[in-house]
Amino acid sequence: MSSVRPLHAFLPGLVLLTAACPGTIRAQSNSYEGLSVVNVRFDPARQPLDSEALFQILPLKRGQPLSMEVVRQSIARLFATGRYTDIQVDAEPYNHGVIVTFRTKNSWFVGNVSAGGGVNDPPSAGQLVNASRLELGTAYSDTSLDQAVSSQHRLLASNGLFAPQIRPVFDYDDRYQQINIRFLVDSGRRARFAPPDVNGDLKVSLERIVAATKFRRWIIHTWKPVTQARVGQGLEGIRNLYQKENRLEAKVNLETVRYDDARNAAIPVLRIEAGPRIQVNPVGYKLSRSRLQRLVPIYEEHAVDHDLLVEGANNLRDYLQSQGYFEAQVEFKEQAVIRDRANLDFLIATGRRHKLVSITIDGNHYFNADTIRARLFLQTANFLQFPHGRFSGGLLRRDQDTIRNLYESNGFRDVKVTAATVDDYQGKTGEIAVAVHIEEGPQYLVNSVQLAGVEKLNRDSLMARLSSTEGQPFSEFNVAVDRDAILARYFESGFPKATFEWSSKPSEKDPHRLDLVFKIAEGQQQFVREVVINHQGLKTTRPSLVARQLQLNPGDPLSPTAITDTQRRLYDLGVFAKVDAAIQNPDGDTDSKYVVYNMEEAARYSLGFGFGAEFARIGGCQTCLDAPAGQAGFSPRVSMDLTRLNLWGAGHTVSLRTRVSTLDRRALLNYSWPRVGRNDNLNVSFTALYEDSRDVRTFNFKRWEQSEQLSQRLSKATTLFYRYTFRRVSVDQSTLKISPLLIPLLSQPVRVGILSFALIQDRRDDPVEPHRGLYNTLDVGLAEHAFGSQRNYFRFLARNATYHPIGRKLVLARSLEIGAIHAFKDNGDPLNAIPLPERFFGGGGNSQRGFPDYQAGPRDLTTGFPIGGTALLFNQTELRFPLIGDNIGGVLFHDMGNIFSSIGKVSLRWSQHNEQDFNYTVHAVGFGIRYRTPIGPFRVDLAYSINPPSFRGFKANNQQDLVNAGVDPCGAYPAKCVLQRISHFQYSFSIGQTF
Amino acid sequence: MKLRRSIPLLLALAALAGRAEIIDRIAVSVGNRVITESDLKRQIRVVAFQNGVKPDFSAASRRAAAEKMIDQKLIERELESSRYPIPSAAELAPALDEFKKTRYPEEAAYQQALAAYGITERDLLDLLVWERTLLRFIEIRFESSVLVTDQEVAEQARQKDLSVSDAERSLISGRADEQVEQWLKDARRRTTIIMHQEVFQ
Repeated sequence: MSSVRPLHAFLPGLVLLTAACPGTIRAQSNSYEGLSVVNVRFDPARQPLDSEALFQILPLKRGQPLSMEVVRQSIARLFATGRYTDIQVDAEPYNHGVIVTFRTKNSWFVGNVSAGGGVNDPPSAGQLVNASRLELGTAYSDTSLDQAVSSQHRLLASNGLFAPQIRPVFDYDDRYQQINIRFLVDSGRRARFAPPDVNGDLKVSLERIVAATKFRRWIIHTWKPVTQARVGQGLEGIRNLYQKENRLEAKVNLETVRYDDARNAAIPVLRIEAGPRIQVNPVGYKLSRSRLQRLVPIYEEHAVDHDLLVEGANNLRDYLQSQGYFEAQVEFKEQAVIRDRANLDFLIATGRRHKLVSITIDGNHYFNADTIRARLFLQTANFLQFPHGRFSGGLLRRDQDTIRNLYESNGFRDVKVTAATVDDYQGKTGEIAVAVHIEEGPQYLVNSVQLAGVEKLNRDSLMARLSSTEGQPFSEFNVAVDRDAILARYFESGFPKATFEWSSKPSEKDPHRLDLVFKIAEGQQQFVREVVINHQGLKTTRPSLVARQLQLNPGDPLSPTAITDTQRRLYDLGVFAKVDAAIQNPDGDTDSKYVVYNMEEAARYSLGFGFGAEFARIGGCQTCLDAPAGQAGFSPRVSMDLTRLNLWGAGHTVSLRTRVSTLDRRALLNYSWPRVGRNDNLNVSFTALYEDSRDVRTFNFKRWEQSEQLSQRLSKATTLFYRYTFRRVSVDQSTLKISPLLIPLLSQPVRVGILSFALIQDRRDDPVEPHRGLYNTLDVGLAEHAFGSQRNYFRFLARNATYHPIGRKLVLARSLEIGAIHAFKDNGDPLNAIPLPERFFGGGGNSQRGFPDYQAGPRDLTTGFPIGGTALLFNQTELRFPLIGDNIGGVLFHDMGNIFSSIGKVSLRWSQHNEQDFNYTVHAVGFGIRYRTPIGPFRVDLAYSINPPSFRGFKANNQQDLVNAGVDPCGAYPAKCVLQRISHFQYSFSIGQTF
Repeated sequence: MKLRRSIPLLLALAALAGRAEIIDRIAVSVGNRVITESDLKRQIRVVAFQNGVKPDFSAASRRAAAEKMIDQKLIERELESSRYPIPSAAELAPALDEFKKTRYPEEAAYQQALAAYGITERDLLDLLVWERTLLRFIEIRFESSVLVTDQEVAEQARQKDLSVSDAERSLISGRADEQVEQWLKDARRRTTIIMHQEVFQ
């Protein structure tokens, strides 16, 4: 027996070998037909689907008679899952029955795709990955790999890399049938441009063409290395050259790039057909060349064809209509080429110039005229913005359609909208009026709604989402909204193939009431099998950080919303440059799917530089006492920010932000820890700050500060902040422009420890340019010995701003800001108990525009320089309106308020009692212009202060002069104590609305 | 001696293993649909029966049948996604009766012929349904959108010596066929089609 054992050991191999031998289907394979299926096996035993799911979907069942039709169905069903590339079915007789074995080969799906090795940028590794077009979760095949490599070769060649080596390296993940591919790329040497081979009818010297390509370096004239961008720029340069020559039909094509291996040079082969010189002439109306080039797209497109000329004629007509030539007609006429020249005439008949002065609407009962007007594009003339109004036949038709749609979507299916235009309205030449007449007809209402086919979702919750409900207006628009809402709910619940059909019929009792039937075919519900995170992309990030962001769990409905929510949360961590999300094998016919995430980490370090300048009343000598109200000044600014993302792989960030200007030097080191304790709404930050500033002209101060802050987001609009701050502030004694008597007291360094709480509530519709909503802030703090503070005070600052649209165009914005600092245990003078840098300073473009920056409030009675206060009240009101076109707006404003020496001294009093009284309310009115930019409106404000403060200031060259003048300088040298006044006129420039 | 005694056992086991035979396998995959080797052979048999010829199972014949079945799968997919009306088997019953009457007046001969070809009446009916489906698909999807001018019809009638209506019909069907060809070419380009070569050797 012992000698048999070794042979037995080969038995399984022998059996497998025999079974694996491919053969053709025996003609008598249907001899198994009807035999009982004794067993169903799978080879390999480990299958991509769970055995339960596998046998559930398999039509072939144990104990049933074998049918070839069922075998075919079984193969088709298994293949439809997308998890196999090949299936073969074997049969083996056993005890008067048959054992059926499915021999399968699994599919592979694309996982992480990356590129590395010696990649010579450009193209970057990311571009090479994109060029592969291997999409996450899709089926992988050798063909798709060949296509990927070919595509990468083409990309490299287009960047002058003609001899690259690309070697794909595979990492197979059997568990998820995923294949991770890393392309190891050796880009090789980059070729340089060589003199291009130019063919065709050039009509321009070859030297000029080569110069236009900029393939050679300036002055030294060596050929540049090839990149795709340079090739594109070179072609564009040639096209521009021909355009300057008025050869607008010039065709410049890159036929190929020939590679000279010996010289490692790339020779662009160009074909150019210069075409004739074309002179574009506006006939019948004078247009500048620049405007003509803007309006007629043949210049931009470097081509002349019928479509572009039609577009140009339409643009010209639109432009003329915007200028009041509402009947303008524009045609174009191409003339034959004679001696290499051709004329292209735009024949313009402007007609009379008009002004749209009136739009009347009648016949409307359901909607009032204002509701309808708010939707019209036609615009009556108004000063500056539309001096001639906005009108054309096309716009009138568009507005008629708009009104019709408005009615139809509210159940008026038979509505008729007509319009009549009256020229020389009320006998005034050139003025026109438009009369819109509406015949509403009957309103159709929904009589009943029936939801059919809803089985797996809650019918009531679906009904609650519908716009078409009993008694509501019936419209196809509402039905479309309902369809979207219902299907969205189904998609979110994992029914990707849900469909919606609807029908309607008039109710028997009332033909204007309709019975609706919404028929839903739910289809198969799909679930999450598992969420797969590709760890290849996580070099430093902790997997647990990623896992915490997942909004999907195995067994959940396969919701696209949850998939994208997770993707968004991963992006929100700020540590990934790219997050791909995909359903693996999306077309496979299976109930449960893998959801795959693939991440690419962002660069951990980022360095940013900025330059800027400030121009305001910030100038004047630093040590002189001659200009307490400030002088016009200019302050250049440089900033540098260094950020380290994803510290310790935990998504924490540390950043250093520095700024240097002639007014301020500051460095801020911040450590940010988002989503503390796995709570999305809690963030912690630790900050260290150094600041050396002379923003306030009275003194230079230095601040060393550290703070810890916990922010808690209560809702989308409301956030709370809990903060402890400890700082040391000191004032540079030599810069203090106050009475020498106070210098010893106010120049002492002070430690402040303050525990504070802040709330921000932001319900604005647009934070950059709000039109409606409110913005509230509240900041309350307590500085106390117990917190390490040398001074004791309570600080309170609150702001309430609201925004109200008036009609379609105007916005009324208002803001009220109040604040107070109350010292306690102050040993006497409550004002002087508060260190100068801790006091309120105000005035300027963002608070009270009747003052220069930080010039509001109490002043030193000797020097006249502002010394800040402990109470604050500012109220601002703005009327914002469009001014010229769509991008320039205007603002009329009224600012009132001041900084007060104490809360008890706050007064709405209009006039200043004397030159030593600063506790009254200053009013300013003004006008501003806003120019819309992508980062917010650029702002210029000009204010007239109605009752600016007067004050006396001792004219001294420096502090020593003041000291020399004795205890009472003004008393000793009254001639030097000059009466001064804050200027009535103030200006400010900035980015963003005032509030 | 013990080894010699165990050899018959081994041979019996090997023979047992050898008795497992392939009864079906994938011949072609078209997207997530398959054509199995038995599908292919059945198609060859049914078409041969319909044409009254001997089935040809040569590699070339199998390949040709596979090409037609790929087109069928692509069209079936389009029919399902676009919800085209599919003719029912009942609709084809008269056509089947006509076929039987013409070719096999005796039921017994008909049944004998089916058995000889290794097919069932159901297989034949499926083929007839498919042929009708294809015609309908071409009519609805392509022929309905073909536009011909009177001048083209007149020219066709003159060249082919046809009546005006036949000329128009011939022009429309010709152009529809061209469109079908193009559509199939595009559909093949968009679809992953893998032919398992072992089936075609």
